[in-house]
Amino acid sequence: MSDDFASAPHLTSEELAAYLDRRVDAASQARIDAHLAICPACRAELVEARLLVDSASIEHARSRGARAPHPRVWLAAAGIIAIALLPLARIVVRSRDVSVSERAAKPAPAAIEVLSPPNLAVDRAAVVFAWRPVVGASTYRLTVTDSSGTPLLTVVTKDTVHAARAIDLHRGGSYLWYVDGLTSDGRAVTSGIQSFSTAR
Amino acid sequence: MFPELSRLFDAPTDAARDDAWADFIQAHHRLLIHVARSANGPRDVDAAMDAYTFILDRLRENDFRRLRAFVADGRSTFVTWLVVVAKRLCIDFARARYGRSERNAEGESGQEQMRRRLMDLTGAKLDIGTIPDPSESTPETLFDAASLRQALHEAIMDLEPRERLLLALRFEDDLTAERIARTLGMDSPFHVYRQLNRIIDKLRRRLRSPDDSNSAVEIRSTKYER
Repeated sequence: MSDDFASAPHLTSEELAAYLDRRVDAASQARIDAHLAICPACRAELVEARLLVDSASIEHARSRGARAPHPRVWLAAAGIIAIALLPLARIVVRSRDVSVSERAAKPAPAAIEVLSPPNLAVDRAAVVFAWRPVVGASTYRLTVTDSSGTPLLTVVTKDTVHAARAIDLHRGGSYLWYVDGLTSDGRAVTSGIQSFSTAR
Repeated sequence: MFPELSRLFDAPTDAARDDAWADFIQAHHRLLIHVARSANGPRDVDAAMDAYTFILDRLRENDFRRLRAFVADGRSTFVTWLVVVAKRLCIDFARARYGRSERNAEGESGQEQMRRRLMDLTGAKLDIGTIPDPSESTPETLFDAASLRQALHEAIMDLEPRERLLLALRFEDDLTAERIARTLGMDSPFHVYRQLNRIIDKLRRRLRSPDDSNSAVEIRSTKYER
């Protein structure tokens, strides 16, 4: 709005973060407001960062707060859910023919649904990567990296299951993986980045 | 001081530092991947992973210079700071890989658009319609338009910085009241509307002020009296 401020330096990361957290004093707030009012680039960054911080805080809380339950807890929960869903299962079985035909008519899903390994500590000697087949996809590319993103394995396969025997996984390690598929009509589908850890 | 960062900075050996770094990654990799994916789109997983490793490299370089800057400042929460820094590093990564974008080219036109919309809003009661069509481009019409623009510019510059920011977000960036409320941490979109109405009223009063020699009304009446 004013050329007087046109040469003002952009906000530092620390200033922007403190402003987003509303932890700036009155003088800093006025100075930052004044810069934002005349700087479209910093305003755009502020708006984007606000959305990202909100969503990232949820992601962060999920990764820090939610410890994976013990496998026995999973089994007990699965048992209770299975019993509760028995009546529903009968209805589903009855309408199975319709469901199958409807499913065949649906387009290929936008993402690859992963089945294994689960997002919790697994036995490092028995890690198996598995995902649901995608209609029309003939080949898949599986990528496994360590937690810093360094690739450990890239394999192209027609299968939807791959045992991780070729990778030297450490105890208590944390790993990332994803699988991409290419459909016959040229569309790429992906699982998105998944993670798992190995038991100590 | 954050214990996980103290462990990084004060590690007595390279091995201890590597361990502390591995723990840091373990604690924050989901958040950093989230930012990298947001910056690269959910479909381009390879680019997101490349951006993720770029972020980690940059956080670690020069003996954790960036992380030390956060500790030295110490105002924000670590998660907010990490998101802001990771997002900026994603932009650096994209520039290094794809070149610089030309997003700033619209800056001036955005300000022009805001001034025009504010002139419409504040001018409703000023009867700006009585000014002859500027397309006629007579010296008088040009003078009227320029005077009004100048008066509006000065009126805006007399506002508080927060008020100018609200105007820019609403009329230059065209954000919804809901988005503005979220961005600035205001209670609700209604608070945004209320404040904007108050600011526009303030501009109207300023532009109509008979005591102000710079007011548009004063300038126009002077002209018509001649």
